[in-house]
Amino acid sequence: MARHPNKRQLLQWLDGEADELDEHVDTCERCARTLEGLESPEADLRPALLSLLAPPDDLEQRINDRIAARVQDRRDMALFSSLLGVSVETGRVVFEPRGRTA
Amino acid sequence: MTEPTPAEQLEELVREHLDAVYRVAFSVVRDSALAEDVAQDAILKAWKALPTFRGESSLRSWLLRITHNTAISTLRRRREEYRDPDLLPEHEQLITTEKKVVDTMSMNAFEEALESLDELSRSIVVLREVEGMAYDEISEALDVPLPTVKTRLLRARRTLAAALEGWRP
Repeated sequence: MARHPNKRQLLQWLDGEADELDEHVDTCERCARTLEGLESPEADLRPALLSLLAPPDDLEQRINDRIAARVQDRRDMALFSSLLGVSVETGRVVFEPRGRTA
Repeated sequence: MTEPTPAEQLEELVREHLDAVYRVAFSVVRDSALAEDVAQDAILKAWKALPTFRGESSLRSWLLRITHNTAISTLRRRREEYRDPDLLPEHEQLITTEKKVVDTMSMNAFEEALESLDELSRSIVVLREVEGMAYDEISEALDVPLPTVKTRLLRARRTLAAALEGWRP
């Protein structure tokens, strides 16, 4: 878009409309400044977001356990692969379930 | 002072950054089990790549960038899987991750508003409002232009603030 959208169009974009302006607004410093002048909501979103996205209480323990198991798997895979004389990648292709990534 | 061992580095990544990693992951994928998978993958990727981390950005920005990218690729892969009939569970209809969340949680207005945002905007709002990152830090972490950060944040804040009235923790 060669021309900058006017304030009415920018307000429409803020309201989730006028998606055709996305490309321009995403890269235009001037429109970003205009939008900052148009909109300055005071609401504190942090408490709501923290509550909504709160990790489970035992997340750290679970992740530590899962990572430990994964690292152990890799050690086992490396040992098994070396015994068979194939690469770890070959061992992984043969033994790991479909869709599982390294 | 001795350098931390790899095991100690991994422990520190988990201890110091897991909550932020999980929040970014959950904001993108909107499914707690999937967010946990993403958090684990992102931390392991970062740990393995630590020797190549050059300190041009903060460790947290770098880790959250890995998390955002991992979450986006996980979500894409999940959507592709649900498009493949061979990968559908037997006797189940085609359901997206988002639909599952809607079905199993009592969605309130704030959650719906967050859900209505695109994935990039969700990450931006979490990095700014929850993690307190500066605009340029977010721009660098997510590899998007600075105006994108500012304008997506404004629109996201407007959407979320309007819904906040109906939100109850």
